[in-house]
Amino acid sequence: MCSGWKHVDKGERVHFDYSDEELSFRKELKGFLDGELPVYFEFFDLPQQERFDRSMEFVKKLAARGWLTPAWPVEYGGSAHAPWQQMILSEEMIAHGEPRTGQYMNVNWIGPAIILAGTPEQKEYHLTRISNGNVVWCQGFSEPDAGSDLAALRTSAVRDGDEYVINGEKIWTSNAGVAEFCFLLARTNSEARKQEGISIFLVPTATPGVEVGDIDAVVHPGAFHHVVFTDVRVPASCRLGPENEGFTIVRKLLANERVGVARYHRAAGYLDRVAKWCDERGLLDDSSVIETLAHARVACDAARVLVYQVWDERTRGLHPDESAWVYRTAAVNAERAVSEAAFKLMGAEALVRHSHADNQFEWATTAGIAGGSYEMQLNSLARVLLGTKG
Amino acid sequence: MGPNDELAEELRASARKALDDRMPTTVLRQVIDTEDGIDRSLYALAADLGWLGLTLPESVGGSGGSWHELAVVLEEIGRALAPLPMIASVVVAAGAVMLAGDDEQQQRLIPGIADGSAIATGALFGASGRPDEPLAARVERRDGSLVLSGVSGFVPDAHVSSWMVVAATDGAVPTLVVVDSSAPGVRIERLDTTDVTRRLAHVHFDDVVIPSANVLAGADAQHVIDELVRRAGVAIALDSVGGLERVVEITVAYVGEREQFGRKVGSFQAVKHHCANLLVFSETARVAGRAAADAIDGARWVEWAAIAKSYSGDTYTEATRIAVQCFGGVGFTWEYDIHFYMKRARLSQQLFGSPTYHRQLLTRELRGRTAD
Repeated sequence: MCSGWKHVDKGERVHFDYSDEELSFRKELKGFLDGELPVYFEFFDLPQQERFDRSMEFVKKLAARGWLTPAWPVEYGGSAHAPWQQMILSEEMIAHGEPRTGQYMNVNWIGPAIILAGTPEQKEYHLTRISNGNVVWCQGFSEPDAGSDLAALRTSAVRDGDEYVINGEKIWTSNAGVAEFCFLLARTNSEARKQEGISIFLVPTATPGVEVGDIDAVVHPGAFHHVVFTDVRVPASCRLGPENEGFTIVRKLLANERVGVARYHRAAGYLDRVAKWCDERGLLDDSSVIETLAHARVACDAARVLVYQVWDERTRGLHPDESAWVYRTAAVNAERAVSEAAFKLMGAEALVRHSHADNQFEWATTAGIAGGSYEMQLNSLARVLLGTKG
Repeated sequence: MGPNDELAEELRASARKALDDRMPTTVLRQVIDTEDGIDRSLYALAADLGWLGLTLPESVGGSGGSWHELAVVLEEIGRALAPLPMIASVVVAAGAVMLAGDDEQQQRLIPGIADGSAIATGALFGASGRPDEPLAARVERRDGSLVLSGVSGFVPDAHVSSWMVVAATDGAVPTLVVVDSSAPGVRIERLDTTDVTRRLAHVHFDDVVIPSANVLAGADAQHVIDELVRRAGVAIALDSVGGLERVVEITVAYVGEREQFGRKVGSFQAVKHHCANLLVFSETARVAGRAAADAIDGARWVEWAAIAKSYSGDTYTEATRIAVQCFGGVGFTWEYDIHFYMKRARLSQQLFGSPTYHRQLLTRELRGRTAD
């Protein structure tokens, strides 16, 4: 039984294999998903409320099988030491239209953040709810003037006795319309260097003064929101971790977020559907069609082995920033390659709404922006290579 | 500057003004929400300004101008994203009747196109809308009349047309017939497509009777179809030139305003390179598009048409992808305009032959020439 990268004498990674146990887990999971969801189902095609209702119902079933938080420590509702199960889950969920919707974030980094920095009370309350699949969170990070430059955020949290008073605006807040909690970054010290005055708050969205609006986006309608906080009072016990040290925690978490979504796998799934479309039309004997499909396939599989490498390093206790940046760059390239291949092969048929190509086009459009811009990843890599300050 | 450039620049100024006044994107946003998605009053204005009859002969209500002037109008329409059925009606439908129709057909059908009282389109391809795939409409003689059946895919502006030129097989060879869009047996299936500034439809023909006066028999149908693909392809290339020009302007303006890390994002080298590439795409597409427009009917027309359509198709899509990336998250909101260009570019790339299709034509043309 071997999991992850196989090592040879000099410690070089040469080969990747899933263990028999992991393969049978994937098979069982796939069987379950195929039974639960129609073929080619897209949660993003559902209206927001229906998406939410169906997802809540689905995630509870997942939790009941122990498939929601398998990589978490046992005491917090996980089965521990199963990091590759989380990778398999990540791939299979996205291949089935991501039926967890926003709850994937709970599993990938919100829960781990609370495990890392939470008080016993916070752990007891939040981790139980997350691992039972009972709660949706949203991420209050970006602001209108703090996108790539996240540390420039201006939402403020001012201490007042046993409470904090929060004011400001967040943007691109997926799931804010249905979320019960917001994982919020706010400035608690405006005097300090910009990275050093930020704290994390676990804010119930039902608190008076929290107002959610829609962003009318051309991709994934109903998915994006902005959230305005006007004199929102929360108890000091809502703060996660020490005051002014939120950004350090977030940095670690963002590394999880970057590798947590198997976007290359979804893209590869669309590519399979495009290949099937070509096959049905007798196009697979055409060498240029084969080349186009192969080009995109290579991009997807390159991203796949890169993320496996990151994951492997992480399971060995390393914090592989550099390989995570390389992976994310490759993953954006993969998403774009599949979108381009689909247009090239399907022609005008690609431009009918919700065709395989149109769906992948939407994902490819946001790929290089959401979760940190493509250019920022390149800047980070250049900084490592050239040693300059960016 | 050629001999016609003064005239062309006057035309550009008046077209720019008309479209800025009548089709700013605030108005475009209202028009695309309407049932038919076109602005009929703007179309009437286009007729008054002489755009529709520009390249049509005076004998049928046109002004006998050249593609040099038509190019200007098409660029401005592309720049404004104007939802006008001009390429379908003037370039394709009227083009087909001028190339293959007899005098009676031209006199009957063309004046309405030139004065805008009628809108027409061309259904020239099979179900997939690709010029390199077999036709899926056919005509048969039944009880002394000609009957059309089958389907034409991805027909632009069919939903607002009063007639259309349909390419159908007649036994083993193609033929062109004029079909009344409201004739019994014609069904127009509107498509929900990614580009919201233009409308497409699949047109189904269920035993549609074609009067013999509506057969366009004046020229070899396959040659006419090939020529219409070239002309419509160049028209789309010119629309793309105008679009590219505007994409450069709005992207450069945005990165010159937006600040992150205490600097304009346009001051970052990655973003500077994006902008520089946009300009290269835009300028190159412009010279290729105009060269093609000026080459029509000349010795190198086939070659330039293929170059202009394939180059603009690939660069307009790539430029809009880069531009959306420069805008960041707001690039995929409805509020900003850049997504309209991104989606128009995608459809333009595919309509009337993809870049791959036109590159194949180019290779074939050049190979044929070497052999001569």
